[in-house]
Amino acid sequence: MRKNQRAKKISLFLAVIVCGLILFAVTGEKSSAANQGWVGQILNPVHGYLLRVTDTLADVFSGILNSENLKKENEKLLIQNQTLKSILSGYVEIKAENETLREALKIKSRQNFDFILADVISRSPLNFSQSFTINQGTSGEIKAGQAVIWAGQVLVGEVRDVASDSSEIRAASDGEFRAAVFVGESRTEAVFKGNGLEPAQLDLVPAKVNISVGDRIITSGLDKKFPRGLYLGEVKRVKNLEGKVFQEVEVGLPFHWNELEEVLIIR
Amino acid sequence: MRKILPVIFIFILALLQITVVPKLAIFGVKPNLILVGLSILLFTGNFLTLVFSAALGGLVYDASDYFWGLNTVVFILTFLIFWLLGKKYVASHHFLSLLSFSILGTAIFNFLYTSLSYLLFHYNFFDYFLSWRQLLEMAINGALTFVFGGLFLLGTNIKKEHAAKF
Repeated sequence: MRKNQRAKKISLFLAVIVCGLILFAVTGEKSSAANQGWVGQILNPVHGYLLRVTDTLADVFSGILNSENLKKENEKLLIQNQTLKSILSGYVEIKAENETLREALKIKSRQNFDFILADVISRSPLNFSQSFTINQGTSGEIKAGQAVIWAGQVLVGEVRDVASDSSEIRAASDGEFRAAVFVGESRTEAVFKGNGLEPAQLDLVPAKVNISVGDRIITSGLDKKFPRGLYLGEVKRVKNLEGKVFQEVEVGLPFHWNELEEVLIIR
Repeated sequence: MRKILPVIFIFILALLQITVVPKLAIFGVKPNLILVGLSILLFTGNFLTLVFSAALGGLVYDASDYFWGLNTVVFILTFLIFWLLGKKYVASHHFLSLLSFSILGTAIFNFLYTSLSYLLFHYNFFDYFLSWRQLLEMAINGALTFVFGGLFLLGTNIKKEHAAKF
Protein backbone atom coordinates (compact mmCIF):
# COMPACT_ATOMS: atom_id res chain seq x y z
CA MET A 1 0.00 0.00 0.00
CA ARG A 2 2.70 2.37 0.98
CA LYS A 3 4.71 1.34 -2.08
CA ASN A 4 1.76 2.04 -4.33
CA GLN A 5 1.24 5.42 -2.88
CA ARG A 6 4.89 6.14 -3.23
CA ALA A 7 4.90 5.11 -6.88
CA LYS A 8 1.86 7.25 -7.53
CA LYS A 9 3.50 10.23 -5.94
CA ILE A 10 6.69 9.78 -8.00
CA SER A 11 4.83 9.44 -11.30
CA LEU A 12 2.67 12.49 -10.50
CA PHE A 13 5.80 14.45 -9.69
CA LEU A 14 7.51 13.40 -12.98
CA ALA A 15 4.38 14.22 -15.02
CA VAL A 16 4.25 17.69 -13.51
CA ILE A 17 7.93 18.28 -14.31
CA VAL A 18 7.56 17.10 -17.93
CA CYS A 19 4.47 19.21 -18.51
CA GLY A 20 6.18 22.16 -16.94
CA LEU A 21 9.20 21.78 -19.15
CA ILE A 22 7.09 21.44 -22.30
CA LEU A 23 5.10 24.49 -21.36
CA PHE A 24 8.27 26.35 -20.58
CA ALA A 25 9.83 25.32 -23.93
CA VAL A 26 6.79 26.16 -26.04
CA THR A 27 5.96 29.45 -24.41
CA GLY A 28 9.55 30.71 -24.28
CA GLU A 29 10.35 34.40 -25.08
CA LYS A 30 12.08 33.63 -28.35
CA SER A 31 9.52 31.97 -30.56
CA SER A 32 11.50 31.53 -33.85
CA ALA A 33 11.80 28.06 -35.29
CA ALA A 34 15.54 28.06 -34.54
CA ASN A 35 14.93 28.67 -30.86
CA GLN A 36 12.27 26.27 -29.89
CA GLY A 37 14.53 24.90 -27.28
CA TRP A 38 15.41 21.29 -26.54
CA VAL A 39 11.86 20.12 -27.37
CA GLY A 40 12.28 21.44 -30.85
CA GLN A 41 15.70 19.82 -31.09
CA ILE A 42 14.19 16.43 -30.32
CA LEU A 43 10.97 16.83 -32.31
CA ASN A 44 12.25 18.62 -35.44
CA PRO A 45 14.22 15.71 -36.96
CA VAL A 46 11.27 13.40 -36.38
CA HIS A 47 9.00 15.99 -37.92
CA GLY A 48 11.35 16.37 -40.89
CA TYR A 49 11.53 12.62 -41.45
CA LEU A 50 7.76 12.25 -41.25
CA LEU A 51 7.33 15.11 -43.72
CA ARG A 52 9.66 13.46 -46.24
CA VAL A 53 7.87 10.16 -45.94
CA THR A 54 4.43 11.73 -46.38
CA ASP A 55 5.63 13.84 -49.33
CA THR A 56 7.06 10.76 -51.06
CA LEU A 57 3.86 8.83 -50.52
CA ALA A 58 1.86 11.76 -51.81
CA ASP A 59 4.06 11.94 -54.94
CA VAL A 60 3.66 8.24 -55.60
CA PHE A 61 -0.10 8.33 -55.32
CA SER A 62 -0.45 11.53 -57.31
CA GLY A 63 1.76 9.99 -60.01
CA ILE A 64 -0.43 6.89 -60.18
CA LEU A 65 -3.62 8.85 -60.22
CA ASN A 66 -2.35 11.45 -62.78
CA SER A 67 -0.41 9.07 -65.06
CA GLU A 68 -2.64 9.75 -68.04
CA ASN A 69 -2.18 13.52 -67.72
CA LEU A 70 1.56 13.11 -67.16
CA LYS A 71 1.86 11.03 -70.34
CA LYS A 72 0.04 13.66 -72.41
CA GLU A 73 2.13 16.45 -70.91
CA ASN A 74 5.32 14.48 -71.60
CA GLU A 75 4.39 13.99 -75.26
CA LYS A 76 3.54 17.67 -75.59
CA LEU A 77 6.88 18.64 -74.05
CA LEU A 78 8.76 16.26 -76.38
CA ILE A 79 7.19 17.85 -79.45
CA GLN A 80 7.94 21.33 -78.12
CA ASN A 81 11.52 20.29 -77.43
CA GLN A 82 11.99 18.99 -80.98
CA THR A 83 10.50 22.16 -82.44
CA LEU A 84 12.78 24.33 -80.34
CA LYS A 85 15.80 22.24 -81.32
CA SER A 86 15.08 22.68 -85.02
CA ILE A 87 14.56 26.44 -84.57
CA LEU A 88 17.81 26.57 -82.61
CA SER A 89 19.78 24.84 -85.37
CA GLY A 90 18.44 27.46 -87.81
CA TYR A 91 19.64 30.20 -85.46
CA VAL A 92 23.04 28.56 -85.17
CA GLU A 93 23.41 28.68 -88.98
CA ILE A 94 22.33 32.31 -89.06
CA LYS A 95 24.78 33.11 -86.27
CA ALA A 96 27.65 31.45 -88.16
CA GLU A 97 26.76 33.35 -91.34
CA ASN A 98 26.53 36.57 -89.33
CA GLU A 99 30.01 36.05 -87.90
CA THR A 100 31.39 35.32 -91.37
CA LEU A 101 29.93 38.49 -92.79
CA ARG A 102 31.15 40.55 -89.81
CA GLU A 103 34.64 39.17 -90.37
CA ALA A 104 34.37 39.99 -94.05
CA LEU A 105 33.28 43.53 -93.22
CA LYS A 106 36.26 43.95 -90.88
CA ILE A 107 38.68 42.88 -93.60
CA LYS A 108 36.85 45.04 -96.12
CA SER A 109 37.26 48.07 -93.90
CA ARG A 110 40.93 47.23 -93.25
CA GLN A 111 41.99 46.32 -96.78
CA ASN A 112 39.19 47.69 -98.90
CA PHE A 113 38.34 44.21 -100.27
CA ASP A 114 35.04 43.33 -101.79
CA PHE A 115 33.79 39.78 -101.21
CA ILE A 116 31.36 37.26 -102.54
CA LEU A 117 30.20 34.50 -100.20
CA ALA A 118 29.73 31.09 -101.78
CA ASP A 119 28.82 27.57 -100.65
CA VAL A 120 30.85 24.51 -101.56
CA ILE A 121 28.56 22.19 -103.51
CA SER A 122 30.89 19.35 -104.49
CA ARG A 123 34.49 18.20 -104.23
CA SER A 124 36.84 16.57 -106.72
CA PRO A 125 36.11 12.84 -106.86
CA LEU A 126 39.59 11.45 -107.48
CA ASN A 127 42.94 11.64 -105.72
CA PHE A 128 44.70 13.38 -108.61
CA SER A 129 43.41 16.88 -108.07
CA GLN A 130 42.41 18.92 -105.04
CA SER A 131 39.54 21.12 -106.10
CA PHE A 132 35.97 21.90 -105.21
CA THR A 133 32.97 23.54 -106.84
CA ILE A 134 31.08 26.54 -105.48
CA ASN A 135 27.60 27.84 -106.26
CA GLN A 136 28.62 31.23 -107.66
CA GLY A 137 29.70 31.94 -111.23
CA THR A 138 29.78 34.71 -113.81
CA SER A 139 26.31 35.80 -112.71
CA GLY A 140 27.85 36.54 -109.29
CA GLU A 141 30.79 38.42 -110.92
CA ILE A 142 33.27 35.63 -110.32
CA LYS A 143 36.28 35.55 -112.66
CA ALA A 144 39.08 33.06 -113.16
CA GLY A 145 42.16 33.83 -111.10
CA GLN A 146 40.38 35.46 -108.16
CA ALA A 147 41.66 34.61 -104.68
CA VAL A 148 39.53 32.39 -102.45
CA ILE A 149 39.83 32.90 -98.70
CA TRP A 150 38.30 31.68 -95.47
CA ALA A 151 38.44 32.37 -91.71
CA GLY A 152 39.73 35.91 -91.96
CA GLN A 153 42.56 36.14 -94.41
CA VAL A 154 43.57 32.53 -94.98
CA LEU A 155 44.14 31.89 -98.68
CA VAL A 156 42.60 28.51 -99.49
CA GLY A 157 42.68 28.53 -103.28
CA GLU A 158 42.04 30.32 -106.55
CA VAL A 159 39.21 30.33 -109.07
CA ARG A 160 40.21 28.03 -111.90
CA ASP A 161 37.18 27.83 -114.12
CA VAL A 162 33.87 29.70 -114.19
CA ALA A 163 30.44 28.80 -115.51
CA SER A 164 27.31 30.91 -115.24
CA ASP A 165 26.18 29.56 -111.85
CA SER A 166 29.17 27.65 -110.55
CA SER A 167 32.93 27.87 -110.41
CA GLU A 168 35.73 25.44 -109.88
CA ILE A 169 38.26 26.32 -107.21
CA ARG A 170 41.79 24.96 -107.21
CA ALA A 171 42.80 24.40 -103.59
CA ALA A 172 46.13 25.66 -102.27
CA SER A 173 47.31 22.07 -101.83
CA ASP A 174 46.72 21.22 -105.50
CA GLY A 175 49.82 20.35 -107.54
CA GLU A 176 49.17 23.21 -109.95
CA PHE A 177 48.76 25.96 -107.33
CA ARG A 178 51.54 28.56 -107.10
CA ALA A 179 51.86 31.83 -105.20
CA ALA A 180 54.64 34.35 -104.53
CA VAL A 181 55.13 34.61 -100.77
CA PHE A 182 57.08 36.18 -97.94
CA VAL A 183 58.43 33.87 -95.26
CA GLY A 184 58.87 34.80 -91.62
CA GLU A 185 59.83 38.10 -90.08
CA SER A 186 62.75 38.52 -92.47
CA ARG A 187 60.21 38.44 -95.32
CA THR A 188 62.31 36.15 -97.46
CA GLU A 189 60.83 35.86 -100.92
CA ALA A 190 59.86 32.37 -102.08
CA VAL A 191 57.34 30.53 -104.25
CA PHE A 192 54.62 28.50 -102.53
CA LYS A 193 53.90 25.30 -104.41
CA GLY A 194 51.03 22.90 -103.77
CA ASN A 195 52.00 19.24 -103.91
CA GLY A 196 48.79 17.24 -104.13
CA LEU A 197 48.48 14.73 -101.33
CA GLU A 198 52.08 15.38 -100.21
CA PRO A 199 52.86 18.38 -97.99
CA ALA A 200 53.05 21.74 -99.79
CA GLN A 201 56.51 23.21 -100.34
CA LEU A 202 58.38 26.46 -100.73
CA ASP A 203 60.61 26.76 -103.76
CA LEU A 204 63.59 29.02 -104.43
CA VAL A 205 64.51 29.55 -100.78
CA PRO A 206 68.27 30.19 -100.76
CA ALA A 207 70.29 27.84 -98.57
CA LYS A 208 72.04 30.68 -96.74
CA VAL A 209 68.75 32.24 -95.51
CA ASN A 210 67.71 31.31 -91.99
CA ILE A 211 64.19 29.80 -91.99
CA SER A 212 62.73 28.38 -88.76
CA VAL A 213 59.88 25.98 -88.09
CA GLY A 214 56.78 28.02 -87.31
CA ASP A 215 57.61 30.98 -89.56
CA ARG A 216 54.46 32.48 -91.06
CA ILE A 217 53.95 32.46 -94.82
CA ILE A 218 51.95 35.26 -96.41
CA THR A 219 51.34 36.28 -100.01
CA SER A 220 53.71 38.97 -101.26
CA GLY A 221 51.57 40.22 -104.14
CA LEU A 222 54.64 40.25 -106.37
CA ASP A 223 53.08 37.78 -108.83
CA LYS A 224 50.12 40.14 -109.31
CA LYS A 225 47.86 37.14 -108.74
CA PHE A 226 46.87 37.52 -105.11
CA PRO A 227 46.68 40.60 -102.89
CA ARG A 228 49.49 41.05 -100.38
CA GLY A 229 49.11 39.83 -96.81
CA LEU A 230 46.92 36.73 -97.22
CA TYR A 231 47.99 33.98 -94.82
CA LEU A 232 48.89 30.63 -96.38
CA GLY A 233 50.37 28.56 -93.57
CA GLU A 234 53.55 28.09 -91.60
CA VAL A 235 56.87 26.34 -92.02
CA LYS A 236 56.61 22.74 -90.85
CA ARG A 237 60.02 21.32 -91.75
CA VAL A 238 63.30 22.68 -93.10
CA LYS A 239 65.92 20.57 -94.87
CA ASN A 240 69.23 22.18 -95.72
CA LEU A 241 71.36 19.83 -97.81
CA GLU A 242 75.09 20.34 -98.23
CA GLY A 243 76.11 21.66 -101.60
CA LYS A 244 72.57 22.63 -102.66
CA VAL A 245 71.68 26.16 -103.64
CA PHE A 246 68.14 26.06 -102.28
CA GLN A 247 66.79 24.51 -99.11
CA GLU A 248 63.74 22.26 -98.97
CA VAL A 249 60.93 23.72 -96.90
CA GLU A 250 57.66 21.96 -96.11
CA VAL A 251 54.56 23.99 -95.34
CA GLY A 252 51.70 23.15 -92.99
CA LEU A 253 48.35 24.46 -94.20
CA PRO A 254 45.79 25.65 -91.63
CA PHE A 255 42.81 24.07 -93.43
CA HIS A 256 42.24 20.96 -95.41
CA TRP A 257 40.15 21.79 -98.45
CA ASN A 258 37.86 18.87 -97.56
CA GLU A 259 36.74 20.71 -94.45
CA LEU A 260 35.49 23.84 -96.22
CA GLU A 261 31.75 24.34 -96.54
CA GLU A 262 31.72 28.05 -97.37
CA VAL A 263 34.32 30.38 -98.84
CA LEU A 264 34.79 34.04 -99.68
CA ILE A 265 36.01 35.16 -103.09
CA ILE A 266 37.86 38.47 -103.33
CA ARG A 267 36.51 40.52 -106.23
CA MET B 1 13.30 -2.47 -113.61
CA ARG B 2 16.13 -4.97 -113.28
CA LYS B 3 18.08 -3.18 -116.00
CA ILE B 4 17.69 0.22 -114.36
CA LEU B 5 18.89 -0.89 -110.90
CA PRO B 6 22.61 -0.96 -111.80
CA VAL B 7 22.29 2.53 -113.29
CA ILE B 8 20.65 3.89 -110.14
CA PHE B 9 23.20 2.12 -107.97
CA ILE B 10 26.17 3.59 -109.87
CA PHE B 11 24.55 7.04 -109.91
CA ILE B 12 24.14 6.98 -106.12
CA LEU B 13 27.75 5.88 -105.72
CA ALA B 14 28.88 8.77 -107.93
CA LEU B 15 26.95 11.28 -105.84
CA LEU B 16 28.44 9.87 -102.66
CA GLN B 17 31.91 10.11 -104.20
CA ILE B 18 31.66 13.87 -104.86
CA THR B 19 30.01 14.75 -101.54
CA VAL B 20 30.71 12.44 -98.64
CA VAL B 21 33.74 10.35 -99.64
CA PRO B 22 36.32 13.22 -99.70
CA LYS B 23 35.78 13.52 -95.93
CA LEU B 24 36.44 9.80 -95.41
CA ALA B 25 39.95 9.70 -96.88
CA ILE B 26 42.61 7.45 -95.32
CA PHE B 27 46.01 9.21 -95.36
CA GLY B 28 44.42 11.56 -97.88
CA VAL B 29 43.48 8.71 -100.24
CA LYS B 30 39.85 8.26 -101.32
CA PRO B 31 38.35 5.07 -102.76
CA ASN B 32 36.83 5.08 -106.23
CA LEU B 33 33.26 3.97 -105.58
CA ILE B 34 32.20 3.67 -109.23
CA LEU B 35 35.11 1.35 -109.90
CA VAL B 36 34.12 -0.75 -106.90
CA GLY B 37 30.49 -0.76 -108.06
CA LEU B 38 31.41 -1.81 -111.60
CA SER B 39 33.62 -4.61 -110.26
CA ILE B 40 30.75 -5.91 -108.13
CA LEU B 41 28.22 -5.78 -110.97
CA LEU B 42 30.55 -7.15 -113.63
CA PHE B 43 29.21 -10.70 -113.67
CA THR B 44 25.58 -9.96 -113.05
CA GLY B 45 24.87 -6.97 -115.25
CA ASN B 46 23.90 -6.54 -118.85
CA PHE B 47 26.67 -5.15 -121.09
CA LEU B 48 24.80 -2.09 -122.36
CA THR B 49 23.43 -1.27 -118.92
CA LEU B 50 26.88 -1.37 -117.38
CA VAL B 51 28.42 0.73 -120.16
CA PHE B 52 25.67 3.29 -119.67
CA SER B 53 26.21 3.20 -115.89
CA ALA B 54 29.95 3.72 -116.33
CA ALA B 55 29.31 6.65 -118.65
CA LEU B 56 26.76 8.21 -116.30
CA GLY B 57 29.06 7.82 -113.30
CA GLY B 58 31.89 9.34 -115.31
CA LEU B 59 29.74 12.34 -116.22
CA VAL B 60 28.93 12.96 -112.56
CA TYR B 61 32.67 12.82 -111.78
CA ASP B 62 33.41 15.17 -114.71
CA ALA B 63 31.04 17.79 -113.32
CA SER B 64 33.28 18.10 -110.25
CA ASP B 65 36.65 17.46 -111.82
CA TYR B 66 39.10 19.43 -113.92
CA PHE B 67 38.46 17.99 -117.36
CA TRP B 68 35.14 17.47 -119.04
CA GLY B 69 34.71 14.03 -120.54
CA LEU B 70 37.93 12.50 -119.26
CA ASN B 71 36.36 10.45 -116.47
CA THR B 72 33.59 9.25 -118.79
CA VAL B 73 36.06 8.05 -121.42
CA VAL B 74 38.35 6.40 -118.88
CA PHE B 75 35.51 4.57 -117.12
CA ILE B 76 34.16 3.26 -120.42
CA LEU B 77 37.63 2.13 -121.53
CA THR B 78 38.31 0.45 -118.19
CA PHE B 79 34.97 -1.31 -118.28
CA LEU B 80 35.56 -2.51 -121.86
CA ILE B 81 38.94 -3.91 -120.84
CA PHE B 82 37.22 -5.73 -117.93
CA TRP B 83 34.44 -7.08 -120.09
CA LEU B 84 36.25 -8.08 -123.24
CA LEU B 85 39.57 -9.28 -121.85
CA GLY B 86 39.07 -9.80 -118.16
CA LYS B 87 35.94 -11.92 -118.23
CA LYS B 88 37.41 -14.08 -120.97
CA TYR B 89 40.50 -15.07 -119.03
CA VAL B 90 39.37 -14.89 -115.40
CA ALA B 91 36.99 -17.36 -113.75
CA SER B 92 33.60 -15.80 -113.37
CA HIS B 93 31.40 -15.91 -110.27
CA HIS B 94 34.37 -16.45 -108.07
CA PHE B 95 34.91 -14.18 -105.17
CA LEU B 96 38.61 -13.65 -105.81
CA SER B 97 38.02 -12.63 -109.40
CA LEU B 98 35.99 -9.67 -108.14
CA LEU B 99 38.88 -8.69 -105.91
CA SER B 100 41.42 -8.93 -108.72
CA PHE B 101 39.24 -6.85 -111.03
CA SER B 102 38.99 -4.15 -108.42
CA ILE B 103 42.71 -4.01 -107.66
CA LEU B 104 43.88 -4.27 -111.27
CA GLY B 105 41.05 -2.04 -112.39
CA THR B 106 42.28 0.74 -110.09
CA ALA B 107 45.74 0.51 -111.65
CA ILE B 108 44.30 0.47 -115.18
CA PHE B 109 41.93 3.37 -114.46
CA ASN B 110 44.66 5.48 -112.87
CA PHE B 111 47.08 4.72 -115.70
CA LEU B 112 44.56 5.70 -118.37
CA TYR B 113 43.55 8.84 -116.45
CA THR B 114 47.16 9.94 -115.91
CA SER B 115 48.18 9.24 -119.51
CA LEU B 116 45.18 10.91 -121.13
CA SER B 117 45.33 13.98 -118.88
CA TYR B 118 49.02 14.36 -119.78
CA LEU B 119 48.56 13.79 -123.51
CA LEU B 120 45.41 15.84 -123.95
CA PHE B 121 45.66 18.53 -121.27
CA HIS B 122 49.37 18.52 -120.32
CA TYR B 123 48.62 17.95 -116.65
CA ASN B 124 51.18 15.90 -114.79
CA PHE B 125 49.68 13.45 -112.32
CA PHE B 126 52.51 10.93 -112.52
CA ASP B 127 53.64 11.89 -109.02
CA TYR B 128 50.50 10.37 -107.60
CA PHE B 129 50.43 7.44 -110.01
CA LEU B 130 53.96 6.42 -109.05
CA SER B 131 53.54 6.97 -105.31
CA TRP B 132 52.65 4.58 -102.46
CA ARG B 133 49.24 6.28 -102.19
CA GLN B 134 48.17 4.65 -105.42
CA LEU B 135 48.89 1.26 -103.85
CA LEU B 136 46.83 2.32 -100.85
CA GLU B 137 43.98 3.26 -103.17
CA MET B 138 44.18 -0.18 -104.80
CA ALA B 139 44.06 -1.79 -101.37
CA ILE B 140 41.08 0.32 -100.25
CA ASN B 141 39.15 -0.42 -103.44
CA GLY B 142 40.01 -4.09 -103.08
CA ALA B 143 38.84 -4.13 -99.47
CA LEU B 144 35.53 -2.47 -100.35
CA THR B 145 34.96 -4.92 -103.20
CA PHE B 146 35.85 -7.77 -100.83
CA VAL B 147 33.20 -6.73 -98.34
CA PHE B 148 30.37 -5.55 -100.54
CA GLY B 149 31.06 -7.86 -103.45
CA GLY B 150 31.08 -10.78 -101.05
CA LEU B 151 27.74 -9.77 -99.59
CA PHE B 152 26.30 -9.27 -103.05
CA LEU B 153 27.48 -12.68 -104.28
CA LEU B 154 26.15 -14.29 -101.13
CA GLY B 155 22.79 -12.67 -101.72
CA THR B 156 22.58 -13.75 -105.35
CA ASN B 157 23.61 -17.33 -104.46
CA ILE B 158 20.96 -17.55 -101.75
CA LYS B 159 18.40 -16.25 -104.21
CA LYS B 160 19.39 -18.85 -106.82
CA GLU B 161 19.22 -21.68 -104.30
CA HIS B 162 15.82 -20.50 -103.17
CA ALA B 163 14.61 -20.29 -106.80
CA ALA B 164 16.02 -23.76 -107.55
CA LYS B 165 14.14 -25.26 -104.59
CA PHE B 166 10.80 -23.86 -105.62
